[in-house]
Amino acid sequence: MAGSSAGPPAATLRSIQDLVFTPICTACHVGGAAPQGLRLDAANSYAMLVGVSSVEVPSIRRVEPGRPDDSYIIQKLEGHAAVGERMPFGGPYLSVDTIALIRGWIASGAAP
Amino acid sequence: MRRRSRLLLWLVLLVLAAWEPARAEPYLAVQTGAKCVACHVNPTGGGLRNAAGVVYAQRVLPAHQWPESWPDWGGSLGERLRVGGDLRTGSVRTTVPGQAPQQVGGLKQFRIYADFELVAQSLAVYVDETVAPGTAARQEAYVRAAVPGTGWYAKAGQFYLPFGWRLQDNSAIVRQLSGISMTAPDKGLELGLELDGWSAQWTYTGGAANVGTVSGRQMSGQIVSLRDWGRVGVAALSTRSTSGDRQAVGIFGGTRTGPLAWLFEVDLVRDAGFPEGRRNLAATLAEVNWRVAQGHNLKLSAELLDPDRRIQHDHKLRQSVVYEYSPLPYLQLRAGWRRHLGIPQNNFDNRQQKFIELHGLF
Repeated sequence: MAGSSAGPPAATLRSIQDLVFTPICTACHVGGAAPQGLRLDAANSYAMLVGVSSVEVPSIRRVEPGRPDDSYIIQKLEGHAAVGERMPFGGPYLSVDTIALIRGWIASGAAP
Repeated sequence: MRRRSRLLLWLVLLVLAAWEPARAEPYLAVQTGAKCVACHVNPTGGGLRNAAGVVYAQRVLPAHQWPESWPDWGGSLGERLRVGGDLRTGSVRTTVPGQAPQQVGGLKQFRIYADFELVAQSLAVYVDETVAPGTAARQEAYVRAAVPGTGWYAKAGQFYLPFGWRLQDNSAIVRQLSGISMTAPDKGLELGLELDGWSAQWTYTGGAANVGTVSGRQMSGQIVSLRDWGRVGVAALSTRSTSGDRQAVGIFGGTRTGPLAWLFEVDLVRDAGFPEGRRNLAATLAEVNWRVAQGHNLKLSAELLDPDRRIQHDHKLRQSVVYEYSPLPYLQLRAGWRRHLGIPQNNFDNRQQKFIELHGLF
């Protein structure tokens, strides 16, 4: 898990940004060529995730507040999305604990 | 039930007979001195092979041949339809500093292709579809028109863009930075010209990243000159986007020295899509392929990414050693090791990966 040994991080966007989006996802998902137009830098991640339809399966939102199972980001991270590669592209994939952190943030309403 | 099983068996056999590599191997073009269009239906390479490409895969690539008594497969079903496919499975073990190693394996991709000639040598429809894992997803689907005898052609629909080396490794840094790879099809128009010693393409598309809440337009193009010693090309793209405009230029080329095929690429990008504003980025690739023996290839590569040219000491490196063994026609085994090097504060940027892959190469 991408975390510290000082205890489990809180399920907030800030911690997810610091642990996952910025160090891992922005290797690709940043700038004008971000895959699927999805930029996950700290300035854009919330606006591009929460309540926004995914490009690959537009009927599913990237983050559906309160419903992690119905959020496309979870499906992509867990590898059971209907379309495309599991993320992060090429691996290593996120640990169960790290995905649980993102699940927890979504389940609690996906606050900014 | 038995009838259904027999139908399924025939479908499987048809698919097996149609395997064909989906991704380009540009070092082969450098080794042979041939254009991409010499072996591929698509003038810009990759995907479905033409008759010459199938013969090359049968007779030149592998270490051993099938028995003479086995039937030949030429890739065509009738006079107008060519079909193919690509199946890749494998396992990768990733080690990130401070974390337990992670091993993941299974089917990586299964694609099928078809090219149907509506008018011989003039008008065709091409489709490239991923059928597994997951549900079916269209990669390429376009109409291709050509003017016989002139070298001119046009494509309209969804296709991969030309920009630099069309590497089979979509995670290569130069492909990630340019945003153009065989994971990012785009929709629009492509005009191309194939002449002796020259190849050129120009595209006008929506921009692969201009989707969803982002909109815009993109132009890209490249010119490649083939010479006795090898080839060199220049590529450029310009993207107008609500997320920030983007321009890129690249120079790429290759040469051969005995059994060695050398490839290089340098890409420079100016990107206004970053939160702090415009950023200048650069990426380079150096690769050598050593044809150790018939059916054996050793690939060494080194890549560099400068994610912000204003900042010192933020470079990322990737070094790879890959051995490719093609024991029989249409079959390839690959084993490799990659080392990523980046700033020490980011463990993810300092990971190592070992992998093995099995490719169906019909």
